Amino acid sequence: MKDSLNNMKYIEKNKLVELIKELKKDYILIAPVKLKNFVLFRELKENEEPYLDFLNSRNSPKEFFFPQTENIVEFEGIIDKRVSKLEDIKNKKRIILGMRPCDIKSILILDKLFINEDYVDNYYKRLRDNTLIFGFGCNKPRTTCFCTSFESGPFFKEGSDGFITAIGDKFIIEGITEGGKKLIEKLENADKDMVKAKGEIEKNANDTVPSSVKVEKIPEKLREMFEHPIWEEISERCLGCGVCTYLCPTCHCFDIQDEVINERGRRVKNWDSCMFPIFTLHGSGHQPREFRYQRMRQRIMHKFNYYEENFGVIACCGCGRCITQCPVNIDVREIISSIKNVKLTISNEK
Amino acid sequence: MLKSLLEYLGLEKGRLQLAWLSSAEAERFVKIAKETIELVRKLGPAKKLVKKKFATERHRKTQKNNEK
Amino acid sequence: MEKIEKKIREIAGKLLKDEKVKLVIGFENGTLPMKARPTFIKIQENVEKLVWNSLCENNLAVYIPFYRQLMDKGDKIGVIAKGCDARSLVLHFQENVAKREQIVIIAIPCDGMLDRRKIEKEVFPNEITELSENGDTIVIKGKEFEKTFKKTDFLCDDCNTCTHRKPVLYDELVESSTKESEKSGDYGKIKEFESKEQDKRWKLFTDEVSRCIRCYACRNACPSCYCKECFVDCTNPQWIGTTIDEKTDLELFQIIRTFHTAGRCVNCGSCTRACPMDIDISLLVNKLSIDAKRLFDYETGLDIEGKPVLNKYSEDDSNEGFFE
Repeated sequence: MKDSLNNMKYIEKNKLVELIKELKKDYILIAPVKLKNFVLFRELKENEEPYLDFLNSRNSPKEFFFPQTENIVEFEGIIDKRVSKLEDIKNKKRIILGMRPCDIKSILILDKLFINEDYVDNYYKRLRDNTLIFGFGCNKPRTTCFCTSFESGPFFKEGSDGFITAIGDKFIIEGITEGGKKLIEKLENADKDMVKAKGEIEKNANDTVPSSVKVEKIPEKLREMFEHPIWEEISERCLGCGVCTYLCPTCHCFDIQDEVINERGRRVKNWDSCMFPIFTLHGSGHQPREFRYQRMRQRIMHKFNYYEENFGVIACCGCGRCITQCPVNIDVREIISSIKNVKLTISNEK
Repeated sequence: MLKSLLEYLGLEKGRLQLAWLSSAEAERFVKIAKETIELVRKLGPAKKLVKKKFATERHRKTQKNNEK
Repeated sequence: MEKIEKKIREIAGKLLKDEKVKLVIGFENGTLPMKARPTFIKIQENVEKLVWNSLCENNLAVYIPFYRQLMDKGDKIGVIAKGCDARSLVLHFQENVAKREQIVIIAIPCDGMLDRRKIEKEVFPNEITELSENGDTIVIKGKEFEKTFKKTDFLCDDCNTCTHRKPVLYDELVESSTKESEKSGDYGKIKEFESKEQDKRWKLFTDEVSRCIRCYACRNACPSCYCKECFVDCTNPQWIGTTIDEKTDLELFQIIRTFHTAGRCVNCGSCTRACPMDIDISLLVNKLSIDAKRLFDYETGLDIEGKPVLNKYSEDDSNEGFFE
């Protein structure tokens, strides 16, 4: 067993609340919270308890690194004396507790875009640097989960600072990075049986993920399919709302707007969605993606072709949110398999 | 219907005022304007459906005063 | 159910075979256990895909505006319509989205559709992997459970209060034993909300919409929301802020969008079902329908010759809310 025993700690499930209280003194805690009959990741309010008996959250935790609304600059003053200042980014350290491996994978995917050799997005990076992620192994993947198709899995640990596994009435917490290890230092060491039980769960975990898609060669094939009739077919039932892209943990398009009221204003970054009719609408009124099929093509192409060409990974982590929440049940797994089934004719291949 | 909807959602009764008026009804206009001013004075500054995050300094001050 | 399904396929097949319509919009089985999804049948062989069950929740009239070009060419569209879909189509005819002769309405009296979320709540947090229905009984299965429910206990709120389960207008009618809902027009939820104190109501409303992520699924799933440019997308002038940290903009979005459907909403519940954040939008739209009935004795989408209630004026119209 390569996991050193010293890094394996445990805590009784019912003691977690106390631990969180302790951590809250120094950190902002972000964790899943139960609302009505679904679970959302959010900053824990006072006396709010995390809900860890969940399959996955409705929203994707990407919003804590790439917020839906983020101030770039705030300014104040009358027109000729305009003062600009960068918004003070909260420097308080944060912990995200209970993030599922698919969502952590998505952050690794986003890192390639926001922090790379050519360009570093400081807003993203600061939030990234300030945050410790405690991943949470999936004992019960959903039928719509297909994380194993993207070099990830229900116990994928890359990107986590610590990793939680639920066994019976205990959480086994494994310290991975220095920061993660330090945080759980004071917890009791897990014994051999616990570590063994944990190993057992992890060993067969990948087989518990019920669905998978074969994405090999999809990026290359898509390159030849820009003008294929399949786009009209798969987008016919699309309503053009932003559910798939706004819940998606890897979608990252944004729009910049200025908001000015009297003498105060701000420049603000908002999420945008390729599904919307005003996405990439030119100032001239020209819309290069006028029809639903063009917008659907953009979504699939961006995830499975452009992103792969630019950054070497497919921008999908198999969380299944777009499948379960789409109002008309558009299923990305089906789209991939129908792309796979397309027989390219000479004309399509140029 | 709009008035009914807003009041149903919890906006103060009377915050939204509607009147049918023609440009020929100067006296009626004055009367309604006066009545409206009186009604709004009674209600005080609006707290609902007001941009809070991004209020101007002046507005913030009035908001603070109201809270006191 | 099976009988209805067979009949639908028969009618759709015949329409396509005789080239009466270019396309039939109906429902097929989806990839999720709790959802049937819209499907677009263009050749007769594919009619076998069409299904009918208690999961056919979408209002199919929402697709009509997408087919204007097709209709302008003289082609017709067949639509499988529940009571609410048919009323939305009537609204479309009133507002010239389509002409009556361009649509073939295949009407199915509806017994109400299941509310996925009410069922999910029963077994939360477990996942439901299978759902089967037999008459009034619903059986759901998951990895470690199996439960039986009475269908009528788990209908969508809007299906319970539905006033016209039998389509008001049709070309082909699939007969069924449907009865109008017992709770028809009984908006208990709204009355309960109304009975609360003003500030309590405001808090409930603002808490509910504070979850809004502005994905606009409510707008896009709504058959009455077909503006070419929505007020939220308009940048010149910009009617409304675009952020989500300014909660007032979220409140305004919900109020303005729903008010745009005042007297045009058929209370199909599509907006509420589409919302990924489970915001109860029916709290707003039901109120508007109650008021349309109370003030103008009007219900949306019943009379193809008529006009939406706020589009017409009569001297005896109610002046409620105006200065004397």
